[in-house]
Amino acid sequence: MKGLTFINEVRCRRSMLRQLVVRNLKIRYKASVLGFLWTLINPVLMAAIYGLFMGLVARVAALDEIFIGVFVWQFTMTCIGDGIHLVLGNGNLIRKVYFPRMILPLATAAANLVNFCLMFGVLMFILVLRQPGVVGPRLVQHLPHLAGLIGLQALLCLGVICIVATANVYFRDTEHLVGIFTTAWFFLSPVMYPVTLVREQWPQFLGPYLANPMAGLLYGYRRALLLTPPALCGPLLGWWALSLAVAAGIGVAGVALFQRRQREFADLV
Amino acid sequence: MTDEPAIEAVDLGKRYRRRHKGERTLKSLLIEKLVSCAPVEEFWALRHVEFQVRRGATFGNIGRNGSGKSTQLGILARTVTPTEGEIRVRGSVATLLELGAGFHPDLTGRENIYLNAAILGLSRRQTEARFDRIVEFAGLSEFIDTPVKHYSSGMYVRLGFAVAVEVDPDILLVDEVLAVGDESFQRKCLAKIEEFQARGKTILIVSHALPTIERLCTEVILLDDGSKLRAGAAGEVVAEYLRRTLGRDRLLWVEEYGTRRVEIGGVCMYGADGRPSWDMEGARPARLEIDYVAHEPLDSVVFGFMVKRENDQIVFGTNTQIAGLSLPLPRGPGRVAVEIDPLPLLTGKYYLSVAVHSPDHQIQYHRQESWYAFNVRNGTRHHGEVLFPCRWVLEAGAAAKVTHDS
Repeated sequence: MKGLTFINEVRCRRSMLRQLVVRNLKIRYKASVLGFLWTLINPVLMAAIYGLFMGLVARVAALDEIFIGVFVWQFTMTCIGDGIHLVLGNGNLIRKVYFPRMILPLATAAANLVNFCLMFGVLMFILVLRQPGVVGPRLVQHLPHLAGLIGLQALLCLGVICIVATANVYFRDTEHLVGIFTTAWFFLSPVMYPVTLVREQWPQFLGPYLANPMAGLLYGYRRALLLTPPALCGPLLGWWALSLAVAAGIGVAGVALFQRRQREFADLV
Repeated sequence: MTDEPAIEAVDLGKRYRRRHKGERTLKSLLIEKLVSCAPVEEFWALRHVEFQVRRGATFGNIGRNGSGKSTQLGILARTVTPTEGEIRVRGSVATLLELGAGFHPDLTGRENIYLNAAILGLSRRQTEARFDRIVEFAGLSEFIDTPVKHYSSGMYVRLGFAVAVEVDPDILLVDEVLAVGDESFQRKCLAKIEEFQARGKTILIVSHALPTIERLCTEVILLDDGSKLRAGAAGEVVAEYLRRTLGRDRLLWVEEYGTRRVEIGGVCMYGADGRPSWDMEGARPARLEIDYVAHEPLDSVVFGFMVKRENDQIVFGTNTQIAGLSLPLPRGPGRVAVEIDPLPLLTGKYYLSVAVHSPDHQIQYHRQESWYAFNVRNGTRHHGEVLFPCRWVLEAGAAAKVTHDS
């Protein structure tokens, strides 16, 4: 298993991994006066805006659905944003010091995961406020389920970080393409509308639509957290399982791509 | 085991692909594919380079910008993968990062120490054990909880250097960092490097600061256009480098020419202690020796030497003709020597030309213009480049007469 030696190398340098995670979090919280609060205010305000338009004006989604959608989507987006400049931004380090390169995407994914877990707590708080006495028992019941979803999303994020970071080394206009891509991904994922909207409008496309890993994850989170979850059944559950497999597949493929290319980074940054 | 060299490079080569214009983007890739021309130029940043660094040696790496020094250092640090050849490094390696790369401006000195040490391979516990020494060496105890964005560049460098030396690797790679920081810190750095040397650690220095290289290194490799031009004793290689760069930059006329009927073999300077050296002591006796070979007998030749500064300005020049000597030269080898007592130069870098030519100056048999560089160190505090043999005379009134030799 020559391709997996990096796991052992990373294990040997876990103090560096830890320090980088700490650095990423500290910088995020130190950068502004409000610190950590900013990272919370942002999704809350976004959720409020989407909620106003999609929930109250367009009446396609409940406010709780949108809250879940925005918080979950934010995790993937911050990872993509951090991922783009991951290799180029650390060019000096990459040229000068040897360390297992995989530490960089791992540290970014881990820092964002920690951040997401904190935000998830806030999300729970919001949901409990809105549905007192209901979310608590459901949360306990679905805790392993949620942990699995968060883990799977973290793996997806790691893969996406690896892919955009590597792509940006080879193609410096990746950032623009990623901007367009994420916008498209946002509308193709059930962030500000429920999956049921697609089922009602375009039932024939619902299967392929669900293969989108973010659609699968969002459906999973909502199924676990909402009082009246959007129900899927029959073959659609198969598509849903596929989307979770796609999430894991992107994670593994991204890591493999990064690992294959990392030897060239020092020449190109 | 201890006989094995710490670093061994065998036929090392690194090829880069250079693009003609701009950065590579997906857009440019599409355009290139459509018009089916990919203007990619390959070049070797390093090729057929071989060298060995003994365990405990301090090895210098000099050359012009773009000569391949940094690539070679990158290969040693394992960040650059060689295209061909092989490098064997025995022992742990740490790089002295330039200007605290890996520091984050928003973090405090303390946080950056932990971060930087972790990047260089220390565990948290190891860093904790060394923390006080790092802070003390950097001289930053008052500012250790200040974000480093408020640090001066000198403070940055000090912190970076302090962390790297405390990592205590078997092999320390130093890239141009010694030129920064104030004088007292530079002295501290040099002292630390000398301490490393005394402890038998291997050091590899890349620098343009030739005096530092000459002072610290036992051996030096000179790279030019990616290949090894010369490797050997520090003084010789540095002299060779000066000869080439100064000639190229046209600051100083550096050239070797002549018919070679008489050929200059070796030129050597000797200090007061009688040992050959290119580091002379001002106001002390010196001796210049020129070995030559006459390939045919000649009726009369003139030997001369000249000392210049780097702006091609002549400090002094003389020859055997001016001295009123007539030298018939039989076939075969010989030596002429010049006794200089004392050497009336002040601290600085000087360039020596030697020549052998016909008495009417029409035929240059062999001339080496500014071919040799030497340093002069003068303990006195006079200014300038020439030492005047002067004394002050103080005539207070007419009675007391005080004289004082300089």
